[in-house]
This record gives sequence, structure tokens and C-alpha cells, in this order.
Amino acid sequence: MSAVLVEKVRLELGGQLALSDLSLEVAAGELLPVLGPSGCGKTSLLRVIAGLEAPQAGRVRIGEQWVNDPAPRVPAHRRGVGMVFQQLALWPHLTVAGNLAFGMKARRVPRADRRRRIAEALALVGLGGFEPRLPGSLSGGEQQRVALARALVGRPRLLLLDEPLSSVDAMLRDELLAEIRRLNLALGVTTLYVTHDRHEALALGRRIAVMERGRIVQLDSPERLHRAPVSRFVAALMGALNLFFARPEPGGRLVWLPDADPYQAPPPGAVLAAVRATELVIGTPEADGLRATVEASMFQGDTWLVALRAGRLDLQAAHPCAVEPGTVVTVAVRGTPRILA
Amino acid sequence: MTDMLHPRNRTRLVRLVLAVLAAALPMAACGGERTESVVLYASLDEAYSRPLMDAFTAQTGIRVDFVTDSEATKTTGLVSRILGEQHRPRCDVFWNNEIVQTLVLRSRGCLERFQAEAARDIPDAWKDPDGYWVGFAARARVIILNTSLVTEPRPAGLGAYLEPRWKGKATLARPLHGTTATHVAVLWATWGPEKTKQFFHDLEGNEVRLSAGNAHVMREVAEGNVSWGFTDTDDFHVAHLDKKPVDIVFPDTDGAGTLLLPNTVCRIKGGPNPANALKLIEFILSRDVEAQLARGRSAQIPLRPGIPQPTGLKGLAAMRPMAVDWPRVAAVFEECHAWLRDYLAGK
Amino acid sequence: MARAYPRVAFALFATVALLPIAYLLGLSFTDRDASFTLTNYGVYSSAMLWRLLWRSGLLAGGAALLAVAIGVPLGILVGRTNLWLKPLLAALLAVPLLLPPYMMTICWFYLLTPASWINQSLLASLGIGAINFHALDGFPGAIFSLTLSYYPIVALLTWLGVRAPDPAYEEAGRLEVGPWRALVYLTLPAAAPYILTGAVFVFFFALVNYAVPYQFSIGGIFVSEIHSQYQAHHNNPQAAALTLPFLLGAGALLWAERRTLGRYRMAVRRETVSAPPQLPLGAAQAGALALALLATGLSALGPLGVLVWMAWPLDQLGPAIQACRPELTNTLLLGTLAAVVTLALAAGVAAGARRGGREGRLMDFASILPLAFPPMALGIGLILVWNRSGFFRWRSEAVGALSDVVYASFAIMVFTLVARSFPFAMRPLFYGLGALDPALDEAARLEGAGPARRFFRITLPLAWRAFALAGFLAFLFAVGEYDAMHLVQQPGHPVLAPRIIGAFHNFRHDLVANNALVLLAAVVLPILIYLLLPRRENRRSPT
Repeated sequence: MSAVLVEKVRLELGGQLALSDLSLEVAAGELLPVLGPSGCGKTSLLRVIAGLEAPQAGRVRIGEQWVNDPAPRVPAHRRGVGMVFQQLALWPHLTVAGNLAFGMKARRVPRADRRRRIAEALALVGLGGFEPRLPGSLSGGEQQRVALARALVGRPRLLLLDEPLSSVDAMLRDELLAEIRRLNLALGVTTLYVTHDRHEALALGRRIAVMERGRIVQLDSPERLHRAPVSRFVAALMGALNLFFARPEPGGRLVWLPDADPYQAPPPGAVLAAVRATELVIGTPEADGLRATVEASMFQGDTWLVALRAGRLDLQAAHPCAVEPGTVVTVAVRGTPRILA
Repeated sequence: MTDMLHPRNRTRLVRLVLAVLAAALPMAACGGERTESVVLYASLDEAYSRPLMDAFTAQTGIRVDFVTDSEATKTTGLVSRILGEQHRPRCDVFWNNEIVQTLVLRSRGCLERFQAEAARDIPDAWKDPDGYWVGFAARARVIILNTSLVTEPRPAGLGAYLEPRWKGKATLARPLHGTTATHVAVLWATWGPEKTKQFFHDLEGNEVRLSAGNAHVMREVAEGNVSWGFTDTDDFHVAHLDKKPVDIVFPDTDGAGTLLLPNTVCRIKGGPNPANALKLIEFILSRDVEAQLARGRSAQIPLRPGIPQPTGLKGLAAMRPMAVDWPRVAAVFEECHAWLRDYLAGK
Repeated sequence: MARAYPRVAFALFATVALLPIAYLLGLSFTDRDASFTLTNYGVYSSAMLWRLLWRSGLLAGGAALLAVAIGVPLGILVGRTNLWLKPLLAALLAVPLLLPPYMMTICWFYLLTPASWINQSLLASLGIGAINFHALDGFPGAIFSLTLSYYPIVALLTWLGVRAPDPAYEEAGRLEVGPWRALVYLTLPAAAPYILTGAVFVFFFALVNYAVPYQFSIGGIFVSEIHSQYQAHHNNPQAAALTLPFLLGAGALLWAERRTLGRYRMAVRRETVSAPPQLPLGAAQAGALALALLATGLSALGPLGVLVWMAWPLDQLGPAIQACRPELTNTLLLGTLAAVVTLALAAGVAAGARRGGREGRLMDFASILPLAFPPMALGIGLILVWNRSGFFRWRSEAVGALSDVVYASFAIMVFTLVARSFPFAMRPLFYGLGALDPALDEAARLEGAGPARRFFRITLPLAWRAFALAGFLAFLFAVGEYDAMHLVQQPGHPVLAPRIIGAFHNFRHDLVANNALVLLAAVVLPILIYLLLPRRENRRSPT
């Protein structure tokens, strides 16, 4: 049986639709990233599961317990859910130990047990001995770990992470991502990880749920999302930046239609194709392909991103060196472009 | 209506209101033509003094700018003001509703002599032989009692404060201001310091409560929180008019007599409008004003013969006024006050 | 704002409000012959000091504690629960703030006369003996009155406090405990600074209030003693020496405000996902509503009701307005003038205080001084500075002439009201300007905009609510002011407050009620203007 089941949940907030008949199933022990741009409703999804928002329709099951039907049947604190908030929400007036002990005190866990579990949880996130510190005295990374420890110390059956790394610098982020993955494997807690960053999602999940406008538009493996995005939106979100209309020729070949705006209605018989920058190859003007003019080159660390203009198309291609603006080149697709619906 | 609530129209409406206010304020500030004026400090309540001053203005065209005193600081507040302004007087005429503070002002050199035609028929006993002040329209220090709380025999004088049966049931205004301060100074002059001090110690022993002022005494008696207390006839009369369960006793009619405190009017030395000051003094001392004060809510007792006595003060006809050596009272006032100040400090 | 303006504003503020306080401080070290002495401070070595401290502390502390006891639950009920009639209750909470405390006292005198409906019908039917307000003589009555006048400050600050923290703090707790427990253990501690600040403010308001204890004939407290020393004993140096504790108190006030509001900055929400959730009262709904109605009934419905009842039929209101026209005109004019001047000065000083540094801190501290200083004593200081017997006594004739212009005119009344209102206007501006990103002003400066242009085009539109609140508070305190006004009131410029108290003492109940309603209407007018102002709604989208 799945660990979490969300069925046709509808949530309106302040007159706006936050979740629109959303359904989702998460397997026990799974670490599922939920990827979407800001405002798509992913935080609302977590809040409905946690019991912080009451949906107008639909129901939610955690484990074997129906917690919403749609009226909340089980209050938030009885759902066995741990959550790391986007702004962490560490209580500033309580010490690290106080933050971790808060829920256990309410559940009357004996003092000795509390101490032991707090020490274990802090050791788990590498913060042994931090019990007496106040949150304000901790670095950003330490605060993230404390928030994680607080969510875990109650031994939740479900862990909800709401963009926990959004305010962390890049170096620390990689470290914490590895940590989260390790914890998931070690503890086997079913985890929903909300993010707008595809790198985070790709780093964590065997499956990724992509959300758009209050619903899940694709739930697939990272490879499938990459290779077969169901829509232009998913393609763009997965980093397939180059969109163009093409006409399929007999034999599977695609012919570029550079004069058709990819953001307008398709010309008759055309399909929308998407390719990533790394799949576009820049060649000499004489080579076979679409003629384009170089507009700029941007260094990306290990490669250059070259911005090109071809007809009404704006394209970006990865290239080993910079190209002088104004240079006329040809571009071709390496492999097969993804055809979007 | 819905149109009016449209945001744009609301902005207009608000602008309109603000514009009207902005236009109205300077007009209000400069309102009224420049007229001759005179400055009066009056320890008579504003409710009584204003109609009289309006009548004066109507008669003479002279505007009266006046301040009255608050209940708590009756007279002494205005006196401290006049003393404070001695280097640059602001006041032309001081209408004091008692007499001792007038004598204090005289001794501090704040007053100017004057002669008033209207004062001719006021008995000499109520006029300063040196011409610094004239008394008129008196109030009496009387006992106000709550008719449902006081049984016979009724308290008949100051001595009743010390009777065991009134322990904790009688009140006196704090004797630092107003007529109560004068009353105690009269006792000091008559009894001497030792007896007066002993009297106050005994008051404390009999748990006599101190009220903020005479109006407070009247209110506490009228509401039945205490049985009786000394106050002025005007305060009693107000309660009487309001149909409170109160009665009046003119005290010590068979002993020292009832203390009568005249209003006094005096002219401030160096006041900004000396000529108008004299006109205002003439008006205040007129028979007409004394008659009005007798008829009015304050029921003041006329000092001149031939003016009808107030009707609401039962027993007035049988009242025997106490003979008081006012200059002596004024002479001991500071000493008495200094002792009271220390004695009552923090009480 | 021009670089120099804060200094100019501060200099003017200092002349108006700090000079009298400083003068009193200096005076306290002199004898009546103006020679140096410490004898005035002899009062602090006597048993009287302890008596004054104990009695003043009892009065102010009692009012502060009761205000917390009533204000905190009410603030939570209105701020965070699904209590019925919340908009009505919120409006009623504001009423006592519009009524000067002496009016609250007068209203309760009327509500609890032996013949009143409460005593004759309500209490009698409940089998409770009649309560006479004067029987609550002295402390209980005064504490009751001051509490009813000031508990809305605690309630409103609690309301702000329980809504201010990021809702995530409480939500994080709701995953562990029930919603009420989360509110009590997590949000209330974050709101504690607000509540504490409210209590401290109530304490000081009650401590410096002169009119209410006076109405209950309470002696032996600091304000009554200062008043007696000045008015009855003409002992100005002694009166001045008795103001020292208030100067020390101002320091405590500022410390409390800054330490508490500053310390929990982290807990103050910046961007919110949604308004904090409303906690369900469930079966407690009716009980909670009854309690809220009882509290607001005592402080708002009762007093308003008795005023209307006393003034009935209201067709007498027109003639009453006519009869008090000079007082009304002067009161409104003074209130408006004082509000405008206060706003102009407070904006400058608030900007200066925001700049920080030693000068900014000085401005910040100095601006709160008049809040902890009894208005009555401030009035005494102003009189002594400007009436030529004190400060200007030995100054040249030209300077003396200036003092005459101030003392013998409307000006000293405006000075008094500005000094009195300044701290109330300064606080909202200080926080309002602090909330503005300095980059906004700097960006305009780079565009070449001058100080005036930047103020009117950038600062004012962005912080207009702070300005509106500051101006309204200044106006509100100015029109209701009695404590200092009864001392500095000038001949020919009568104002409403002393007239109302005078009429009350003369049993002119109709006058009291009519004039009080007129005064109330005067302060409600700006609120109506505010409510009519168009507002922009900011909708946030869900994440």
C-alpha cells in the first residue's frame, strides 16, 4: 500500500485556486521531489497533507488513515508528519534542545528518552552537542540541520520538506542534498521534497512530480521527464530551452520552421520540438543545418553558452569556445529532438 | 450613494473635507473683530461667571477674556498664576470667591488701589480701608448632611467632627485650597496654633475623610458615602437643586457664629487694561450682579441691605455671622498653611 | 529630507518640550532665593518617599496588571479566533482610546449613582447590593477607571503581537501539539514584548495621570504632591524635585520598548503566505463572546450609552454646540495646530533618530521623555519658563518680549499640546520610516530629486499610514488634554476639557454629556475621513 494518497484535492485560498483536483500517490520509503515554479501550488500541497490547510474537496490518506475527507478528520499534530519549512521556523526563543523537545514534551515522552532522542537526532545531522545553543547563534547550514533534526526527532511516518535549501549557498546545498538522501536511505521515511530547482529534484528523486497551476502534470523518472516531457512547460522546466516548430518529413527527419514563432499557434502540419543547449551543435556556415547569427557568448564554467538568432527563433547552444557576435553559423540537432504534444 | 463610495469620488470627497477644514481654521483663528478687552481671573465657576461677563460685554462693548479655576485649586491656582506673572502682569481684575488670598496678594504687592462708585452702599466691614479690595456676595461655611444617614441630634458645628458617633462618617475638603484653607486660617487666628493643630490630630483620630474639594464633599454626602461634611452654601445649593437627599445646617449659631466668606474683587497692579479694569469692577460690584448671584444656582448671600436673600438656604434668616479679624487671618495664613502643608504631605 | 532638517526640528522640539523639563530639573537644585541647595531632595530621604512610591506604584501597577488581565485575552480573542462579532468588538475596543480618562471616570460616576439602572435594577435583581462609584473611593475606583481607559492599549498590542510572527512558527508547532497549545507556547512568547510594552505604557499613563486620581480625591501620590507643592504651597523648587522619578522612568520606558521590540525582530513576519489561521472556539464561543462583550460593555457601550442617555433628547445637542462654540472652536483649532506642528517636528526628529549614531540615540531618548513626564508638571515647567518669573527673568528685554508673545497667547497652549503629543506621534513615524528601504530615497537622490520632492513623492506616499496615525494621535491627545491645559489655559481661549470637569462638579449633567459627545464627534471625524480614503488591496498568490 502507498504511504501517501492524495485524491482529487481542490483547495481555494483567498479566492484563488491553489490546488485543482490534484491526485498523487507516494510509495512507502520513497523520496519524491515535487518540482514546480513558484505559485504553482506545491507548498499548498504539503500544507494540505500536513493538515495546515483544509481543502474544499478531495481526500488524503497517510498510511492507512484517511486524514481528510475532505474535512480534516485528524488534526495536524496527530498525523505523524515532520516538516521543514521554507523559512525553517525555528522558534527563536527556545534553544536547539527546546526546539527538538517541544513536541515530545506535549506527548509526555519521559525526560531521559527525550534527551536521548534529541542527542540521536542531532548526531544524525552532525550537530552533536548543539543542544544549549539558540537558533540565532547558528550559521545558515546549522539552522537547516536543526530544522531537519526537529522534523525527524518525533519519528514521523512522513517527512515534508518545503524548499528547505532555497536560502543556502551552492556549496552547502550539494552537501545538504547528499545528507537528505543519506537520511532517507538510512531511516526509510517517506519524504516529499518541494523545490523549484530542477538540479535538486534530479539529485534526489527516482521519480519526480512536476506541478503546474495546482495540478501534477507529469510524474516520471528523471530520464523520462528529460526525454519525453509531456508539455512545453515540463520541457522548459527540465531545461530544454530551445523550442521550435518543425515539419516531420518521411523517414523521421524534421525540417526546422524558423519563421514560425514557437509561442504562437503551430503552422498546419507542424510539431513543436524541444532540444537542450547541449544537443545543439554549431557548425561552419557551409555545414548542413539551420543558418543562424551569433548574438553573444557566455562562459558557463566548463563550456560556453552561445546565443543565436535564426529567423524568429532564439536559440542557445553549448559550445567549447566563444564565438564572435555577428558570426554566421549553422546549427544542427544531435540525436532526436523531443516532440511535444 | 454607491457613486460616492467609488474610490475616485471618495478621494474627491476627502479632499473637499480637508479643503473646507483648511479654509475654516484660519477663519476661526482670526474670527471676531478687534475689540477693547479686559482680562479677568475669576475663581467663580465658569458656569456662573460667563453669563455675567456676556452681560458686561453687551453693556459696554468690552470683551472679557477670562480664566476660571479648577475645582481642586479654587483660588490658589489663580493666585499662584498672578504671583508668577508679577513681573509682567497679564490680568486686570481678580474676582476671588473668598478673601484671604486677596489679602495675600495685597501683602505681596500685587494689587492696585481703586475706588468704585458701585461699592458705596456695601457696609464698611466688607471693604478694605486702604481701598485695595471690596467684598460682596458672600457664601457661608455650612454643614451639608445626608438626610437618610443623619439622625437627630444633627451635627451643629466643627466640634461634631470629633464626636465618636461620626467616626469615619464625616468628611472635610483638603484645607490647602479655597474656602476650606481660609476657614482653617480663621481657626488658627481665633483658636491659636496649638488648639488648631490638636484639632487636626483629633480629626485624624476620628477618621475624618479628606476630599479633594468642597464639591467633592457635597458629592460624597449627596451620594451617601459619608453622612455629612463642611462645604460652602453654593455647593449645598447645587445638590439641593438636583434634588439630592441633603439638608443644610448653619453651624455654631449659638457659639462663634457661621463663617461668612465674601467674594472679593481687586485690581492687579500693572495690568494691561487699567481703564477697562475699573469699568469691569464697577459692573461686578453693582447691585444687579449681587442680586443675580443671590438668585442663581450659587445662591450667594447679599451683603447689602435691600437685596432679596436666596430662597434655597433653609435657616439663613437665623444665621449669625462670625466676627473675623481679616487682617489677622491674612497675617497668620502663611504660617498656618506651612503647617498644614507639612502635616498633610502625602496624606 | 534635508540633512539639516532633523536638527532644526529637534531644536524646536527641545525648546518646546525639553526646556521646561530641564528648567524644572535645574530649579529643583535651588531654594526660593535661587541659590544652590539640595534641600528639595530631602523629601527622598523621608518616609514620605516610600509612601509616594508605594501609593503611586499601587495605582499605576494595579491599572497595568488589570489591563493585562483583560487586554491579553481580548486581544487574542479578536486577533486569532473565530469569535462572533469581531468587527464590532474591534471597533468597541477603540472607543476608550477616544475618551479621555477623566470622561471615563465621569461616565462611571453616572453609571453607578445610587439611583442608576445598574444599581436599582441590574444589581438588585442579581441580589447584589448597590455599588456606589464613590464608595469605590480612592484607589479601587481610580484603578477601575484607569484600567477601562487603558486596557485597549494592551489588547491592541496583543492583537498585533499574536499576528506579527511568521505563521510558520506556529504551524511548525501545530505539527506537534494542538492549535491552542501552539498559540500559548510559541506565539505568545513571541508576542510577549508587545504585551510587556503595552503594560509598561499603561503603567506610565496611569502614573502620570492627574485628572483621574484628583476626581477620586486621591492624595499622597507623586502627581497630587507636585500639584499641591506648585499650586497650594507655591513651592516650585519642591514641585520640581518631585518630578525626578519620572525622568528616571523615561529611561526605563525606552529600554523596555527597544529591548523587547528589538530583540524579537527575527520573529516579526516580513512576507506572509497567508493571514494567521483563526483558531476555532467551538463550544467556548458563547462564553468567550460574553466575556468580550462584558469587557467592551464596561469600557465602551456603558460609557457611550450613559452619555447619550444623559444628553437625550439629542435635539439639545445643537444649542449645546452653540453654547460651547468658543471652547469647541478653540479645542479643534488647537488640536489641529498642535497636530500639524507635532507632525512636522516629529517627522524630522524620527528621521534624525533613524540615522543612528550618538546624535540619533540622543534624539530617540529625548523624544520619549515627555511620555513619562506628568503633563501637569510639563504645564508647570512651560509656565515657569515662559512667564518671566523664572527662566526669562534675567534675560534681556528683547528675549523677554519673545517670552511674552509665547506666554500671553495661544502659543503656550500649542506648546503644551505639542510637548504632550510629541512622543505619541514620534513612535509611529520612527517605526514607519524605519520600515522604508533607504535605497528608495537614495535612488530618488541619484535621479536628482531635492529633499522636499523626495519627501512628498517618495517618503510620504509610502509611509502615509504612519503619518496619518501620528497626526491622528497628536490630535486625539491634544483635544482631550486636561492635566496641563487647566494650568496653561489663557484668558479668552477657553477649551472644552476644563469646562466639562467644571460642569460635572456643578451637577450640570446635560452640559457634561452634550460637551462630551461634541468632543467625541471631533475625534471621530478624522477616523471617518480615514475610512473614506481609498485603499489598495494587495493579494498574494498561493505558493
